[in-house]
Amino acid sequence: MKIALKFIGTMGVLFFTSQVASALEFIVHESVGQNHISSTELKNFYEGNATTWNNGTKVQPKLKDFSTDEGKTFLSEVIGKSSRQYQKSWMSKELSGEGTIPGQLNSDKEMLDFVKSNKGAIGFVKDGSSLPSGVKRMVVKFDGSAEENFKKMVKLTCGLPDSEIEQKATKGRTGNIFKYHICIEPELDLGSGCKIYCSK
Amino acid sequence: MRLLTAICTFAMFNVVASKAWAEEFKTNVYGYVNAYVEKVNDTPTLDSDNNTDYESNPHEFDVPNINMMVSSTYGAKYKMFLNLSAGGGGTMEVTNAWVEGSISGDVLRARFGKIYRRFGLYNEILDAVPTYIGIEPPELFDGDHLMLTRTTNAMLHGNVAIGENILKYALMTGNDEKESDQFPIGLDLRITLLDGQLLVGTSYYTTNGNALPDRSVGEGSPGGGILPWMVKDRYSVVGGFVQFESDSLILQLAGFQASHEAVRDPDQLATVISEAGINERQAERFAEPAEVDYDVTTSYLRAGYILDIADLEVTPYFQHDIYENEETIASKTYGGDNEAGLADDGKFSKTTLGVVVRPVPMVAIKLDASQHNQKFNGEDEPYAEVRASFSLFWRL
Repeated sequence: MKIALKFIGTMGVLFFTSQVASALEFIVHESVGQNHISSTELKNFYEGNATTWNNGTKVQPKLKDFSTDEGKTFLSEVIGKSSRQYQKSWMSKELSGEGTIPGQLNSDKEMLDFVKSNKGAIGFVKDGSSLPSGVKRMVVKFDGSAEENFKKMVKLTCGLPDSEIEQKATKGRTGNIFKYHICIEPELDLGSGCKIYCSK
Repeated sequence: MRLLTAICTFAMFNVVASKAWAEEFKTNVYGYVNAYVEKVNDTPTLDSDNNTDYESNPHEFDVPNINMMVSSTYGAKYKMFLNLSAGGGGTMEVTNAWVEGSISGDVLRARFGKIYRRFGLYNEILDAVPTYIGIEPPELFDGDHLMLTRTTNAMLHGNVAIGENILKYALMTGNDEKESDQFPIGLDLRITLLDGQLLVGTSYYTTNGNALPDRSVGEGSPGGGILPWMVKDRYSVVGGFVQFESDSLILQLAGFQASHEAVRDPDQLATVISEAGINERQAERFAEPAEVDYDVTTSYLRAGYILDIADLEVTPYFQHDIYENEETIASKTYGGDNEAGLADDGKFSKTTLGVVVRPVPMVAIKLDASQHNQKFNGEDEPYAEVRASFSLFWRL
């Protein structure tokens, strides 16, 4: 019986692990004035509802190929649509002249090169990628409470399963949620190789 | 030496300028092709004794849309769009051609040219055939009985984010069907709610004075809301629409009414009555005096459910359209519509069941069947119609 339960438990962990999203972080060209962006604003940029940064520069969003782990995470965690739905909604906009779908790139190198050489560019790469000069990290602020923002950020940046995110979402004045919320340091190390970034 | 320096400076300036131009100027070329086949069952007609008879209709193949679109942007401020269509007869037409400049970011933009007006859910996206459910457009924008012109010439528009919601607005005017110096006005207001899943909006249009038909009797269905046998007409159209779109469900509901104050041309009307094949019951609608106030109303419900089956996206759908226009006739040649115009009273409804199959997002294969319901010669005379459509989005 114990062995059976252990087996079921192990399978459960394996199943859970297989559901883990890939980690990614957003990057922008250095000309972009702001260091953080709301998840709504980010979604609007990638859905063509907003086309300029606060400083008037044209937004040039780029995507990772939808077959990559980052592409999949982007769609599920930021856009909330399947790749078919996302492409279909853009086709509708394109055929009425409202804009064109952001181009897709296959690798982090291509993404970094694009963002570095295009004013107003925004894209995403695997979490922990080293950023060349001319490219800076863009912190995403999710709508909702500090706890929700923390959990979504951990999911996006570290790709941890929900059970682990719950463990890291410690509360109180010494807890991770508060530390991240007030952003004393721009980088918060949550252990197990998971670092999240904040911006005041 | 000075000449050489000047030439080098000029050349360098050109290199820098053209590089900057190239960096700022982005152009995309894309479009779609749409082919369809349709078979209408026997439709009612009158024999020489004024009894109902039935005539068969041949099946019909067509390629109504072969469109090429060029979309360009220059920096954050300027945009250009060209939509060329070569469907049906094969002649190339400029469907849209406009330029747009930003006055204040995304909050206020001005667009000029030949523009699809922002009106209801479908007018701007009728050329996005591969993306929506259904083969035929809603009756509001059926090409045989338009409630207003599809295109106009100037649009001030923009959008603002209100929290997670987006409010979009547009104010439009143009040549439309105006008689002389009138200023037709179009308005559209829509808001997306529930993380973009719910769209609620309203559209309004007024000729703001007298307007004229764009063609004479015998030259086909009008390109706007005024029938060819009118001397003049002033009208307004108002309506509302709701769309809910989740991961798997699409639901659309809309209703519009056009209110006309028109004056018929007795000579043109006499031609219609004698030559356009209208029967006695239909002719009763035209016995009124020359000045007529009449309403055209339409509403529709469209629903689809997206299923992922193997590698296919399969969307079964249901549609119900209602259209009422007591002023229309059946003959397209004389400016009418063979659906609404067939009815004794200009009223008909259409219920459609269909399915869209998408092997990839750029391809849509649609199959559907409709039942038309109307009164003809005093009796309910429904008839059926089946259609298939294949559309493909392409990009260079």
